Amino acid sequence: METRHELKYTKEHEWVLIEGNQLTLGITDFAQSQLGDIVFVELPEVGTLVDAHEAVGNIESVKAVSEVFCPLAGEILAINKELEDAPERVNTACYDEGWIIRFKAEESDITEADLMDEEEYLAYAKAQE
Amino acid sequence: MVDFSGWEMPVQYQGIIAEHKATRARAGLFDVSHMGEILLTGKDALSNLQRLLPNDPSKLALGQAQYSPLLYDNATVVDDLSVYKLAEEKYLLCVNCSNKDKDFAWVRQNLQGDCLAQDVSDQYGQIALQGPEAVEILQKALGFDLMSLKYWWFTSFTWEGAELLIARMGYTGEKGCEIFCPSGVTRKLWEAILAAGEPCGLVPVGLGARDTLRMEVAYPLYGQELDDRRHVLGANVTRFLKLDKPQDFIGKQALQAGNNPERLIYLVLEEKGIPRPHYPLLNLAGQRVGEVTSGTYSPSLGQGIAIAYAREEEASQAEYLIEIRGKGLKARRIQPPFYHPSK
Repeated sequence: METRHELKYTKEHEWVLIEGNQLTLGITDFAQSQLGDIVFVELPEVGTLVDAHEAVGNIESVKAVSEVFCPLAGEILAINKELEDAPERVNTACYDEGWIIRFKAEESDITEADLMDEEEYLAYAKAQE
Repeated sequence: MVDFSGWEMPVQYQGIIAEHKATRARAGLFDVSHMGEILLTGKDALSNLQRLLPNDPSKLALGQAQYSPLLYDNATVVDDLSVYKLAEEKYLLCVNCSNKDKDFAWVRQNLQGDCLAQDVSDQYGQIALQGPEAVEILQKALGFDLMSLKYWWFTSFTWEGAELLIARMGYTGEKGCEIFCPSGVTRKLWEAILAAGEPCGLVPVGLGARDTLRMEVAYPLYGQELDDRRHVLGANVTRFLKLDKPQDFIGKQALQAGNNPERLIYLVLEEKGIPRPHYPLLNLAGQRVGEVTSGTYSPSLGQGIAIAYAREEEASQAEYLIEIRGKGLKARRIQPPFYHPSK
């Protein structure tokens, strides 16, 4: 299971890259391997305002469907449109070309958010294997 | 790995889509040892089978097999199975793993006269080899010519001192066979076929692709298209229901009454999305007319596909909506199967 040191993680097996008040979000290597072949990613509209822990999209694999949750309240700034034609990128490059959304949040929310660092997440994910 | 009625089985080895495509293009190997086997022996074995099954096992020659549902009196379904005529007065029933105990109890409670039913599931392993390369692989692995068998025929074959039963059939629509072996031989047989087949592109296939492969050829699955709540008449298996055979059989009266409120239809999703079991089926006016029983992404078509029950009076429309997370996505009804394997 691959993880990245510079990222923070959620209990829903998502990662966020925090750059000031902007965050990029995707699903972790653990999540993509649990889902198996991803064939369809349903994305929100740019500009959508979301609440913390709100579902903003869906990932359909052959096996199952899984919701994408936004861990913080904010506004969707960008979506990874490439995934419409190449959803398998979430399997092959979940931390890079397989990113899902970029959103903006309040810096105070980001500081207080319930996110795990790499070490905490590894322990959390291993316990679910 | 998942628990499947007490068997620990892989959903996938390398990935559902890769395993699915390999089976369609070359060959796939399936460990289906979880399937149950019930042996029926005795002078009255055939007459008992005639009463238990709506199909007509008297038509079987030695070495021939047939598919049949197993019905309750009200024509709902106990299970679906294959019956093999091993000898005069000796038949093997291959049944679904999750139904085995229920089937065995049902068969036993309905036996009459000189007929013994034995649950021999533990004695058998079972391996299925499916795909266009299956013939060549079986020749290499066992020295057996699959083309010497007609579809739905079988033969016994001795391999390294073990007696195998090789049946030309399968659950993918592809050329291939299902091989019963003594359970202690299963691993050796699996490894021998895999080793012989790897140069031809043979891959092991898990439960995930087994389901997508069977769905593309529109075969029913017990627990989804068939169950003990729905009347079998709607399940698109009427060619296996021999109402005109002379013997009475369990479920016949309910079949003759014929009042079945719904039937299976087959749908290709025209928008992006994947139907799943229990998703609502709507008509174009948005009214609920049924329910999806099986749905998946078809690796061969690159689209979502569904098998669904529709109310009889709504079952002949050209287009429907499948409700996926509150949205009605357009689906087109097709004549099954979804995919025609190259024969």
